[in-house]
Amino acid sequence: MNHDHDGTEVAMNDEYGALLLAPLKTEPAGPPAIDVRRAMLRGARMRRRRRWFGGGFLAAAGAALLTGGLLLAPANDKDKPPVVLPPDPPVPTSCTVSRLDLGGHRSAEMMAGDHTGRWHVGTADPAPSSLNGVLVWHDGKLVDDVPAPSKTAREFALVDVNASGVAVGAANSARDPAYAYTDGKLVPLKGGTGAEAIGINDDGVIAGTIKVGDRSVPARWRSIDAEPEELPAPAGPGSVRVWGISPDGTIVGEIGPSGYLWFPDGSGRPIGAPPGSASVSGAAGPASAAPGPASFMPNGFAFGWVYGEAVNTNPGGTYRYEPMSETWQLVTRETALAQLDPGGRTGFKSIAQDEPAVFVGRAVLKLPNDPELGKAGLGSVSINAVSDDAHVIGGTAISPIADSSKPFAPVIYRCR
Amino acid sequence: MASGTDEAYLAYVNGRTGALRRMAFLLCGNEHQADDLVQETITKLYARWPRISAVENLDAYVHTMMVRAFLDEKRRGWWRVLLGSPPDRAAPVAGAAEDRTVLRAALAKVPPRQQAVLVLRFLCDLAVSEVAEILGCSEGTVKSQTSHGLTALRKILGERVPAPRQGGAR
Repeated sequence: MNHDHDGTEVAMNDEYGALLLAPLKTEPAGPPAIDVRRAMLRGARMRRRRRWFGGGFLAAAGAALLTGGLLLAPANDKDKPPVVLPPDPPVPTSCTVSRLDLGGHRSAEMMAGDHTGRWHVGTADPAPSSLNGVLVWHDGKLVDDVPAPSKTAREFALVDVNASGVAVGAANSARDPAYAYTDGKLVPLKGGTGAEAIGINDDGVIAGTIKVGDRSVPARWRSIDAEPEELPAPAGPGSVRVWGISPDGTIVGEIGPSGYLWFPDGSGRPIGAPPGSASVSGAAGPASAAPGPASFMPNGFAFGWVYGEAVNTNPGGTYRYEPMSETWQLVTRETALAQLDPGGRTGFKSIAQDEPAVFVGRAVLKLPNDPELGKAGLGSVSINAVSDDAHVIGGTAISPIADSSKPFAPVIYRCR
Repeated sequence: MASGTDEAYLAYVNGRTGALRRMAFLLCGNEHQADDLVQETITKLYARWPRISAVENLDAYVHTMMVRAFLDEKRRGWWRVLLGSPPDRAAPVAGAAEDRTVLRAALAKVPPRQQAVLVLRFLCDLAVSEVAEILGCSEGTVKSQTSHGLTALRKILGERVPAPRQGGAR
């Protein structure tokens, strides 16, 4: 018990408070329901929530002819015609890596790139609770260095950018609105404080969450100066998160333990779990096991698919889901095989990789190591941006042991 | 200083889950919500883990995250569920259980930040300086929030509790 020395009133409060509240000093009795694996999976994508989408459905269908045939969805329903699935780009065969200009900052973290690979956004001097600014690169050149948008906007980050160079983001602050970066400035989005903007597509449609009363609800802004529209979410326990928006305006997120989609017409539905998934009673959690129904935790859009992890299933794995045809494909059952853009990786074995690799479709593209970065103690790379054609890949080189004396170094891989 | 690897995260979380759960339970008074608070806290912790080595006092940082999550949830309206739901489990002594239920309901009506101060100081036994660090405020603010919180609690409880006396007998 703490005793202060600046007056009898404080000492009296101490004694009185301890006496008054003593009956509440009890221990939780039941077994814990804490799932560390889920915390790591969700935490990983909270670091890099953003959208990513390859092509667009019609353009992709045409491209399939060039890249080796049509991919057909399994004919689950005889009344449905076969569906042309979005094709994956060819896997590049060689890549080079270069460091990006930090504009005088000691450290910076790559946060997102647009689908053309020309725009990238990052955080300057990232640190817990810092009032940091943001950096913008175009064609690999630093073009803007903008301070935090307010005195309360701690840990501000732009988390998505479109092909026009308009970016969106939010701070780790309940006192700030969501923000957009446009014309060299950070401007507040409508919708009040506590809102978060997560993704923006080339039409300028923004996905995120807003506070309605005391709840966070999924929301969509049709432009950076539009009022947000609340999207429907079934009532029930569990938090609502939005992870990304596709070129056609489909939004992917999570309600409680389940993946969820909102379509451009405003309707929504749960994603469900990959077929053949059997629920397991007691997921592998190091601290405790929290059994639950089989579900799918989406990362966001990539290559026309929603990528994500099967949860509480046996076997588990990384899957992708095509919303129009409701087609599931297994990406891999391996953990730590490669990183997923947006914001994920297979399994939960590493935050960054010492030998970085990314998924291009369902194939793995291994990226080269930069010996200079290794010598500088930045031998681990976290990928946060992959262009539609997989020719431009953005990431951050960090210390493999998170040595705070080492900076973060944003890098770009150019592949062909 | 902590290393930012997954192994270090797992080691930290495994070592602290019990203590975090206890703090969460004391904050909200409900096991299920305590588990949700811990889950949210360790999720956000993992999101920040690669840069965690820059944090000098990791426990205080994590406690701050938990208290913020608690205050966020208060704003979202947890307390309505809390006040409307029965106590977690039957207590062995009916009188004591009733006291606890009444006291918890009263505490839930105190402004959220004052609630957090009262819980951290009198249930988690943290020093004023530690509570100030967790809440990101001055020690003077912690003391005034303590005083206001106790006054509010006493008003809510009315005749059920004695007024504080000089010297405060224990």
